[in-house]
Amino acid sequence: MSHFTTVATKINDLVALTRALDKLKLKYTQAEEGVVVKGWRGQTSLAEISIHMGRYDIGVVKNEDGTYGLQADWWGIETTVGKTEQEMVDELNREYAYQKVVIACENQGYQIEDQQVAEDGTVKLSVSKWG
Amino acid sequence: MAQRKELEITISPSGEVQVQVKCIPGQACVEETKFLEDALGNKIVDRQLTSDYYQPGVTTDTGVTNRT
Repeated sequence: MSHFTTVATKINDLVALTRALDKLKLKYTQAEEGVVVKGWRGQTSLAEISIHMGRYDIGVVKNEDGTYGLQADWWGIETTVGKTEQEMVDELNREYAYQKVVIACENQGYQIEDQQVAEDGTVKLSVSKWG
Repeated sequence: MAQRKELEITISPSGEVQVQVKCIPGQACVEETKFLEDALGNKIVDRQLTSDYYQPGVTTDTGVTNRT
């Protein structure tokens, strides 16, 4: 029996993802040949990135379609870190989306004019360019 | 003549991204959000065009929501 579950996200860029992890001050290890993800009762699996949440890890695993999913013993993380699977996934998705948007806009020649973060975590970005 | 292109991007607490294009006459406004749609994985959940869209040469607003 395994306590790993997978959540499909549209994460497709590990550079943006590691930037997001740095921003969230999460520790992680990354290796192309795979890194160990710690789960329930010492169970482990392999992933591209292992995000260290203390006793348990969150694995970033490549899906068949080339996107990346998040795998973890979410119950274990909830009981040790106090955040539910939904909270963790939302937080990672939100920060990833922000980093990915910023990278994409810069590549396209847009400059960030204004940035506001609402109390609920909603981020508003104004970008512009001449062209 | 050079044109100023302006995007308003909203990232929801769950990582859903909404893009609004401003100040781009005509059809270019839809194309202008394509790079973001591509970057975010092309899973578009909503696309809205205002009536301005059909009148070339005026300010247009489009809403494109991209779920990550």
